[in-house]
Amino acid sequence: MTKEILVVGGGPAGLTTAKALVDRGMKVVLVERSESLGGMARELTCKGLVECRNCGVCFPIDRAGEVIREPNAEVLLLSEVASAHKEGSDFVVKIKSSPRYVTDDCIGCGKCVEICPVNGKAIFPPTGSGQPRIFWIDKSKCLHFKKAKCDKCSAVCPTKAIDYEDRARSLTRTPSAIVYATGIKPVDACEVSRLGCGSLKDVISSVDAERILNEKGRLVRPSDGRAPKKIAVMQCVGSRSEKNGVEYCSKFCCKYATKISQLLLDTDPEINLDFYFMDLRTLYEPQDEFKAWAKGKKTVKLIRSMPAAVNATPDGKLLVKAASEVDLDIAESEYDMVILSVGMRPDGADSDLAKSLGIAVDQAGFASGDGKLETTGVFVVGAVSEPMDIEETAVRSVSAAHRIPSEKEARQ
Amino acid sequence: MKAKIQVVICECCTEMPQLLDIEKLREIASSEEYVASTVTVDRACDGKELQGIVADALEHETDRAVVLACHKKDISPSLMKAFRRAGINEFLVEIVNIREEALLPHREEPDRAQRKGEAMLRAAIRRSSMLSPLEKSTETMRTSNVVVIGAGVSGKAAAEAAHKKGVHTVIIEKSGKTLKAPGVILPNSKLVGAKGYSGNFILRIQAGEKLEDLECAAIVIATGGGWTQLKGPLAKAVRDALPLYRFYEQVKTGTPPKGPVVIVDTPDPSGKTLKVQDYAWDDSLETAIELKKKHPLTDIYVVFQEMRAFGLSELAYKEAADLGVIFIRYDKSTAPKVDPKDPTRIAVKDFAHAELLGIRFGTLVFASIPANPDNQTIADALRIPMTADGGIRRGSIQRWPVTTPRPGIFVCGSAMFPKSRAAATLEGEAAGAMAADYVKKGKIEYGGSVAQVTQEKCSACLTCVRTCPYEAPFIGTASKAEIRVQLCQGCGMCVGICPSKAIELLNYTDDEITEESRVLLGGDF
Repeated sequence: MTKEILVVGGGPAGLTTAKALVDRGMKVVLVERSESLGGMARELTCKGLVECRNCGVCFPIDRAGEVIREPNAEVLLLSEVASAHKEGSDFVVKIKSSPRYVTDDCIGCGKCVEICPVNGKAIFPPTGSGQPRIFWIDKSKCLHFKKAKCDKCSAVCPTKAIDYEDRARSLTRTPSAIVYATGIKPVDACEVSRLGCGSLKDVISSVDAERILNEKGRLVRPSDGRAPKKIAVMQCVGSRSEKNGVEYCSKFCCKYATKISQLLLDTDPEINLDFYFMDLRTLYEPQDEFKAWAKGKKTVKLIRSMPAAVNATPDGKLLVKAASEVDLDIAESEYDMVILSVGMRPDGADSDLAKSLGIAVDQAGFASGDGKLETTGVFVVGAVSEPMDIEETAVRSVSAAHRIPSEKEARQ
Repeated sequence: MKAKIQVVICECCTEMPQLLDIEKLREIASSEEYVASTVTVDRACDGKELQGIVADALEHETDRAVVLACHKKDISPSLMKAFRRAGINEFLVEIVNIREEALLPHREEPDRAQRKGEAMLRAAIRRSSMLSPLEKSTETMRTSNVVVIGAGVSGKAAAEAAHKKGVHTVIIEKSGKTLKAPGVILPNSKLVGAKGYSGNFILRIQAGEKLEDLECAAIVIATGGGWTQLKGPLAKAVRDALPLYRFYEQVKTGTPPKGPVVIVDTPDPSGKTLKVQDYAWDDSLETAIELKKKHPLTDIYVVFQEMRAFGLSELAYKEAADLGVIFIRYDKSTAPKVDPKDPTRIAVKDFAHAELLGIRFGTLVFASIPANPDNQTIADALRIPMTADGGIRRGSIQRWPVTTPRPGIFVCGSAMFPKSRAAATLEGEAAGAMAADYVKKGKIEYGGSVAQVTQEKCSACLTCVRTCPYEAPFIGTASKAEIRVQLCQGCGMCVGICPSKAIELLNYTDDEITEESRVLLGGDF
């Protein structure tokens, strides 16, 4: 029997590594905490309305589809690694798997969600464009597990996919290597209170903007549901700032924000867009490409400034105060909507599992994996190790997947 | 032989019958000519029911199929396998996405969904009856060579990764430098031309004065940046200016540089003559910090347009500033100047303070990595696209990273645009490993729905030869156009443009397309 490799995390890094490993003929156990694969990419939107803008969002989603169908990959959703320790050359890993209560027969018709009597629903579709497209029940909310013994979703399901008998499982696996790819979580835009997040409805974070664009295809003002005509995009919200402890540059924000801006202009060429930034660091793109694009559009302005405040005006607009970069005069402009480009923080870099695997945390809070750690069979991959975008994650994952020795190589 | 069609209607787990009249669809299918049998399945994506489809196909001796189901991507792999078992050619299976094209868009208006579904079914049956079986061919790769162009950081990493996977590597290096790397190293040589196709390339290598042909299965482009030639007004004015990598070596070996040191982003700040892709700021900051730590009294100025200190380099940016490195940002319109008569003083207009500064320097360093001028020859030879900045354009991320639009050709490191050493090494590893995987497949698959020339009609006008982006058509020995099947991607551009209508795309001929459209639109034309 071939030894398997454990992949912790079903986001871009975990999926790319898993797929590359399976392609090498190895067995993979993929453990994902949430109910579907795709990680952060699930809620991001494709930015190519007219042409592919190489944002890379489809890449992990496509890999997720492939990994699910792969017979050599065991995908454990709603699961967490409870403990891991080394025995001989292998690891002994205990995995706790929560029940999903919905079987593979689910076709995603959504009737169960319609009929669910719980306020805020207890049965959910997979997040965003996550794979597989199978619904799941939150036991803590579902009335079936309380006194009511409700079984409305089971009655309405056309494929009898609801299975209340589903049980939690404890599994033990003995992988020869562990890939640690727990990824990132976005910085909460409301940590920076002066820009109106939380208090003003039409100030949204880029994560919200991506989710709305992914679900509905266009952006509307949360306050009145109208399409915004004048939008401000602000960079470095919660990045490059000592105040909230994110001193580094999150690297991917310039890339996605410039592409969202281009997407917004594609959906509605009438939109006036002001792009506030400190330094334009569009990764993986020629530096001047976005500047040249903005120059070609009469309605797009690039402003090198970090806005000081966002306030509401009496007629429901947003007033942005920003200093000019040349003479430091304070300029005031009105907008319909403000999008705050938030940065990233590593997710789970200092978890108990990471500690037990010997993964150290660097000065910026990221998990650091080096050659020495890799000889013990632990590979740190993806944005949990340093800020990176999907494309760089893919490159690094492929590279890491080929460093992991197969059983034959390990014996030599 | 008369076509015998099997129509498979997938009910998509009872979703279809709720909105569509499946019985009526079945009636229509069986009333059509050529249809031998109609099967309804609960779901075509399920392995169990595929058995039934195979059994039915064998019983009625059908030779082709029309499947009414969902997206091709969702069902095809298992379904195609089933049809192969039933002895049906994969090019004779028509999949109609009735779920996403008729059912879902017209959820509220079942009548329209039904009408559209019926039209799609009729059109698919008519089209299916006209198709002819096609075969894919395979060809063994003649060698298992992986050629790596460039022996820099990324090239070396690529060769090592490929070698580790047991593939023979050949490194083509344009300089004569000696290096330790696995496989064969050809110094003083460069790529001047290429023939063949993915899997079986024949590269023309110029080694010194000699021209040689080299067979290979996959190529890794790792040309790196164009360090060797420093062009631009600043480089002209300051003869002893250094590119960053050489200055870095100097700092490492410990020779104290002549101070003060000015690190300027590019030798051509106004961007008029030199194509500068980007600046490797992480390496510049690392160099500045190291220098400042070794020689704290040396003044260091970093003159830049855009400080692209990505990710954790931001911390290095801060550290450098704390150590006393002075950062000056300028605008493209007021580019820094050096008077050739006084090549030790640089005039910079600080954008933030709108002040004109004169900095006397001992060493001038360029942080930029200009595009490698060899990229043009390589891109022309291998027929791959370039970026506006003169780098090799990577393929869409939808395929895998470090790929190019042509299979079997990979690109890594600063050949795309400037990378730091660490990033170039990782990309090299990934590209080398992927090239090795590609070679290890051992054979290439081609053919299927490709262009075909009716030689009698061809007037050898060369239009197709000039149009094809893949250079598949050529004028053969009979002075008529022929198609190199291995290169044809079945895009149909030559078909559309041929003035003599001598080319057709197999299974997408004019007759088939007009007939299908006629049925779909229900008209006579």
